[in-house]
Amino acid sequence: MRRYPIKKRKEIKMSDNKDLTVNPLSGNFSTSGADTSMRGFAHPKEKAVLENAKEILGKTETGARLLDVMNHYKIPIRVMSGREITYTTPDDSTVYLMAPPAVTKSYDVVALTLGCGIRDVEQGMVGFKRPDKDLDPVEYAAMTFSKSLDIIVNMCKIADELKEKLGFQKPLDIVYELGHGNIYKAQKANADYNEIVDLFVEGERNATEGLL
Amino acid sequence: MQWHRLEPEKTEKLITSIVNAGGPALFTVKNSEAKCMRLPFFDSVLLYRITNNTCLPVFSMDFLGNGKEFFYIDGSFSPFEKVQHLATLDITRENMAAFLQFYFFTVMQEDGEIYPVYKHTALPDLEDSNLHTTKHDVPEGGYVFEVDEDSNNDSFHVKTCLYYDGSLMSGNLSVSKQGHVEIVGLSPLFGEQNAESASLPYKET
Repeated sequence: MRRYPIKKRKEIKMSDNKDLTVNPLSGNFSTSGADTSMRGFAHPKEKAVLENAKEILGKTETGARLLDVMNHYKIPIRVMSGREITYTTPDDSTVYLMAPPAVTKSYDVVALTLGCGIRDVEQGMVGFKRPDKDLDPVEYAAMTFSKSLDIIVNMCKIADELKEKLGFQKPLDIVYELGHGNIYKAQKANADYNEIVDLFVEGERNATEGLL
Repeated sequence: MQWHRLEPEKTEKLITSIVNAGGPALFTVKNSEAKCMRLPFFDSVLLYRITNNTCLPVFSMDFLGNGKEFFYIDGSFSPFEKVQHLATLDITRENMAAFLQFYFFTVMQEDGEIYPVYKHTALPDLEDSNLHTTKHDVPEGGYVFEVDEDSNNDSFHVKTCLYYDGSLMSGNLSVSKQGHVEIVGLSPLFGEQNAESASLPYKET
């Protein structure tokens, strides 16, 4: 699963200097309706992947609540084939999961990703919308920051429950790989929100400085 | 090897191709950036990447294509096969490191995350996502990369350091000129030979 929200990037050499990927604030959020047909892109075992992920996610407290949200709001979930396990929610209402065709040993990671995707859509359902492109950049960044941190904390909770209740280690390893180990430890220790915010800021600063 | 940014018209062509193939409407010219990179083992096929920068997390899809036809890299060997009607795969001793790096980047393995570990990455710009970029430092003298060509059956034997689902291993690979890779032997890079690991059967299908 990709790092959230601002990826630590290796230097990308381009033929010109207009690489917008280094500026996470550029461009617009997609507002186009998502096409859910995906005839050439659907995962060959879409149903099985989703059912297995839901079954695992539903055995955790945080995950079960998110599945209730998914059912209540009838949030569409589609599974695409892809190189890595990740998700996107381009229109704030549909979750697209991506998973390799050979994913049978990683349903726990798909479950974690599904939980993050549902939480992402839930944010919009409860009025925590994506920032408008015309917002002041500082306000835009603040909203992006808040949304991202919320999903990271949610991810840490699911990973912890998957480990503690079901013995799945890989989701927690991914939390650490993504650089959110300190946030995980803090939320597990019931640290207050401000402390978690400080850790997130510090992590992002370290990730950014690593690029310089 | 480096990325080259696509002009808006070419980006639009790629997006149209994705939609025509049944892809979800995840990309527009406004919200996305597309780029391409030459691969040393293909003469007229490039790697294309389109990224929607406005999604959180940032979302990318990769394709092999010639600018007119594109094949989605879906984690299977299929795009390698499909693209070979557009261009000949030309694997040589010289580009073997790049090929293997690309192969394990694109073809996901049942046994978990597997990729070759090199002293100097052959395709330095291949991965611009955070995951999979952490290359493992191997102590001096521990790196292995040897290529032998088997002219009888049109294949190569390669010995290389592998990151194998959490462990550093020494892997013996058989690489066909059509791009099929088979791990024919594995042993721990350091320490005692583990007979079970060394004989781990693996075959790309």
